[in-house]
Amino acid sequence: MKKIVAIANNTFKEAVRNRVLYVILMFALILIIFSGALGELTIASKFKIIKDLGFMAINLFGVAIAVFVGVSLVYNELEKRTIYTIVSKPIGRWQFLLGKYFGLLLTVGVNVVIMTLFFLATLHFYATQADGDHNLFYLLATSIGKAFVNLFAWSAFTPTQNVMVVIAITFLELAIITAFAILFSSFSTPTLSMFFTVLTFVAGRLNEDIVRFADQIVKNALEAAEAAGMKVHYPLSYYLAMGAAHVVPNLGAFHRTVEQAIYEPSVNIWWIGTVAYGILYTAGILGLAILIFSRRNFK
Amino acid sequence: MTLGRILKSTFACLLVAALLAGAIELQDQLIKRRRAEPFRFRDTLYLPDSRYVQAISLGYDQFAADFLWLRMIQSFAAGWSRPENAQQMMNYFNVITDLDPKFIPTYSFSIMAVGEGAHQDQMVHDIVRKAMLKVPNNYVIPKEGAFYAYWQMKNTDLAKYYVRMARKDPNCPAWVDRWEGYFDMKGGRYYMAYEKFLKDYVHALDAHNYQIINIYLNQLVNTVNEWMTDKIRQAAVKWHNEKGDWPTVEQLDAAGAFKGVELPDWGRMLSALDRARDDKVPVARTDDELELFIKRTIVKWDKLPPGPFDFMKPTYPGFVIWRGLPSTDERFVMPRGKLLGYLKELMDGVHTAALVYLEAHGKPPADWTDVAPAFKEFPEPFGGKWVWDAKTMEMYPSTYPNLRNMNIPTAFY
Repeated sequence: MKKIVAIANNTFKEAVRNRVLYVILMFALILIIFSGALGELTIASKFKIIKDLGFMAINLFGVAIAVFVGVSLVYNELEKRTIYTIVSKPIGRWQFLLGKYFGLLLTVGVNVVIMTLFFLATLHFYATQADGDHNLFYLLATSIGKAFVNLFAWSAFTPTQNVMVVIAITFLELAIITAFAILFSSFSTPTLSMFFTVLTFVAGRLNEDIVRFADQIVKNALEAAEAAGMKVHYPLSYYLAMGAAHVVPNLGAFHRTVEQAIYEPSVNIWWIGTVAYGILYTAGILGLAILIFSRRNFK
Repeated sequence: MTLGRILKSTFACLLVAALLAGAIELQDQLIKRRRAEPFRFRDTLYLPDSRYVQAISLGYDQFAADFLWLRMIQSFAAGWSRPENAQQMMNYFNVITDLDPKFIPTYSFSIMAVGEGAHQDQMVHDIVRKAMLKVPNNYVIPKEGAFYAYWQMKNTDLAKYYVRMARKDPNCPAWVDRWEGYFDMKGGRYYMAYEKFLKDYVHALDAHNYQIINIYLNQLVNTVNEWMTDKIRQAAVKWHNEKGDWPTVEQLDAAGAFKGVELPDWGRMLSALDRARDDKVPVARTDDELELFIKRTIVKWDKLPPGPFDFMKPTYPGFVIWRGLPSTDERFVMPRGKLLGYLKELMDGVHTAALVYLEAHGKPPADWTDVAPAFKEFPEPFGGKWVWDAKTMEMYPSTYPNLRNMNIPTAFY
């Protein structure tokens, strides 16, 4: 365990030196802060727009961080031959990979926390502003204070109730993407890894559409068989689509929690199933990555 | 630093400055040219089927819906007067609500855009139906649909249906619930309206909710008045069809036109309600008893019964058949006091027209026909005739010669 923590710690320190990380973070923060300006353009649902934009920014930029930072982590060790100094020590390859994963996850987590703080502060800023006439200093001070309290007391304030649940669920989604980044990074080049990870993210987000696509294939086959008066045979593309739908992560499951948090803020979100799914899936991907990495020839 | 290096650096800086200045100058010209053109909003955004938008949005459906929502507002503001705008709004609506079905403001806004803006009744119906399907048990959109169905489409059946759907939401306010009775009343389903308001009144009494009682009482009064008005109208039309002239209410009553008419016995009902209010004696203990009580207040009469105002306002002078008018239902039969108030306004208008005539022609009008010829087609409502006072340049009905100086309190009607 200590070895994993040490590698994770080292990975985190390495990741925070990556300038790409700060560029992405800056973009995210600017977007979150100015979500209020976008909210001013609407004639209704200002808070919904701020929330949607905030959730989207945290999720999308979280994915960007996981992808851009994650894909080169293992590759760099191999490229710079620093892996030899590590594997020559009594450290298992699985420990190395898990250390890398948790280090990257910590990096993503810290960034998510920073983005969340800004997001919560933005929400509190506009909520307090709507409450009555307050000066700018008061608005800033209370919104930042409330944002910090919110980080620990999730349902402390009405306008941000369930926001932290969504962030936790988003983090879980990012944990899966991070695991994929590590998986692809363990056997491929950074460019290809980035490509694969982004495609996995897209496919994961469209998972439910793949199922609908499979259903459509069956429907077409049934119609064709009925018209010809023949027995129906499920086409191969159906099995392929269903197979893909079962293998590709179902990121839509996380998305539904976000929807619930926006429209039913007073209802306690049922998210144990989603958490269990996220943890199991991540563990599975990491297992696969370890399996590949432990058989890899470093020459 | 050598002179050569200084010159080199200066040259580089000047080159950059020159390039930037050139670019800014060109940009300035572009801005000027653009500003010289009259601004015209062009909604060039191509809106494909929502299924494709959903796939492209990658699960960030809410955010995509927000973006399109902001665009929809702009698009409406820029082209609300164009005929094709309704269809464009409908396209936006469909895509946004497929992306985010619970985005209630989109439904409200779309009803306003395609309904009140373009009078596209079928589109409004589609919007409300989608809301009832996608956001079930939410009262807001069916309520707005009911409002539109009644005020714009004059369809009380559809309005009532929407109210019933809205009522499925436990958060639906009580005033929306009252609309059902109102729509029944306006749709000529008087007994249903009467039953609803009376039931609500009794429930409010039982709950000692005295704040709401007056609202229900007002609705009851309106319902029974409309009910009576309708009976009078029917009898008057029948008389007119048979005899060719228009009767007075008194003539109808004397001729037995109201024999066997079924109308609420306001006196019986009021005494039971007063007892319940003052002595706290329940009107009914069970729902069945209440139904029975309501049925018993409907009585078969030999002549036109006294209406609610006869009990509540002793000076109430009853109804008048406004003969000879193009029979807009509202004015064909109306309370006498209300008609007097209306006539008073008309007579004031005729007097003002006479003053204008005097100023324009240098002499007063010879007769009311000079300034208000429309009254030739419009007989004096109470059976008299129109009189012209040349001295004061005033016109008045012979039945009420002092009409313009009469004080007609609202309690009168």
